[in-house]
Amino acid sequence: MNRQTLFLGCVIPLRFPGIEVAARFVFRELQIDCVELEGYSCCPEPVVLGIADHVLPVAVSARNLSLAEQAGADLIVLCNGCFESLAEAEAALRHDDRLRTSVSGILAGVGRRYDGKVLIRHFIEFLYEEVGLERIRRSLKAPMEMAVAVHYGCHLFRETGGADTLRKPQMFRELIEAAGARLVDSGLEQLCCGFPITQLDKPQALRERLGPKVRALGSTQAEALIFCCPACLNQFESGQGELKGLGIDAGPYPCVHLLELLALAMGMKPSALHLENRLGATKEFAECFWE
Amino acid sequence: MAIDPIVALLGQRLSRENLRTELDGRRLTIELEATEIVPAIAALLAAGPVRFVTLAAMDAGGDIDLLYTLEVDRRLVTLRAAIAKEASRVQSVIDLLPAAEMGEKEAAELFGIEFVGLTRQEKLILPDNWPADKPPLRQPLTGDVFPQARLPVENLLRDATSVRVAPSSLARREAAGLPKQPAIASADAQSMQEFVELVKRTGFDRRAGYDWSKRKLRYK
Repeated sequence: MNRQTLFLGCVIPLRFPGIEVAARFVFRELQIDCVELEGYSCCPEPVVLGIADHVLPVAVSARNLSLAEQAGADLIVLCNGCFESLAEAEAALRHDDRLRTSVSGILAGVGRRYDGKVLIRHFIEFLYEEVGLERIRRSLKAPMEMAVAVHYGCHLFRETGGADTLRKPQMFRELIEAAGARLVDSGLEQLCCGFPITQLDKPQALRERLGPKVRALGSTQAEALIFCCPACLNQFESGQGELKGLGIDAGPYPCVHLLELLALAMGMKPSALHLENRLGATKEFAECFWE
Repeated sequence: MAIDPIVALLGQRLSRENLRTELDGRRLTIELEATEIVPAIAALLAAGPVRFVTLAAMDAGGDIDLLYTLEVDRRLVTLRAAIAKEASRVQSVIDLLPAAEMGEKEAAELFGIEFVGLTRQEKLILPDNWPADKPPLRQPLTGDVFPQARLPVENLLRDATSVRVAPSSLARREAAGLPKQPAIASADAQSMQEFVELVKRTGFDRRAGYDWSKRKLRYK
């Protein structure tokens, strides 16, 4: 097996450093030797840039994959969007001869090559398949005994090679339960958070995506929402505060990344996550519940 | 793979290691800076017979592309240069290739390019009273990037990230006990240089109309 390398993306290290702190803690607790990918760039962002250009996103992803391949490393990806960008670029390079020739030429021009030897895994897959639920349960010091709801994030459904699109969402659910939490469902878990629409029409995104999701949570006893995508987490955390202005009286709910949940369950001090830098209910949740 | 002799010659004369080229059978396209067109043609003429075939202009959004097509050693060679609309000025090649005069006049009239050294100003295509500041085939300056993608594109090309690398973000990292700079390309000059070169090789910066010196798109 190759070395494991964390692909942090942009949003986690620059907007949610607490998730990076949690990731490093969780992997250390699980005795998984991870290094960072040095000199990487944005994955790049899978929705808007994919529309803006056909070659650029694949070339940028291929450079990231080349960095990992040169380091003899496989990638553990901490963000749904990054996973989709990298996995789709990898698949495109494998199946589209013309694109591969074009991108290989671009890479060669900067002294790089990519031979398709990097295994790209979402951190959920890695924790579930490589580490296993039992080992995670054994690592817990303070199981998170609370009712939580899950938001999968659209890109978590992305699979290459014809695999079951519900594979990773199911793993996500089982990992939350392995952390000791009780899952409650609203029925709208699979609905998009609205983040991509926000870039086009924010009120519509809030009214037709985030609003219905948060309203549906009112029928559950959820004390927090669990995410595995920093963009979705950001959409919920910042967007919930704006729902009242649109006449949607629901929430707000604290927003917690799965790695933060696991880190806390494994004994990390809540203060180490610096949730005081987060918004609204997440901040209050940290102060009232964990401190 | 052996380097194409024409590309090698121009690379040497222009002191360029990585000329961007496209080869399609016997047809070779070489991308040059606008200032390199005259020395490139001079270099080809000094090396052997060259026949001027045509000069075509095309509105590429942010630039006017000029495509000088030549026959060199029984091959069709196109020298392609992007003339920024903000400047719209390039050196004439008629001292080297007199037959290019018609093409330069056409590009001047229809696309508003000023060819420095093109002295005969009589109109070729347009009526004499056509206003000089309204070249009919020239569109307003724009680029390929639609409005909603402009911020992510500027972030990506400036910092190699999807979000801005703000001092407050770096301070929060430090406060959380993390290295101040994440291991992203923009934190390392060599990695960033490689990233920029990669983007340039995709041609996206040109299509998008990105100004590397101002680190933003040339249009809003």
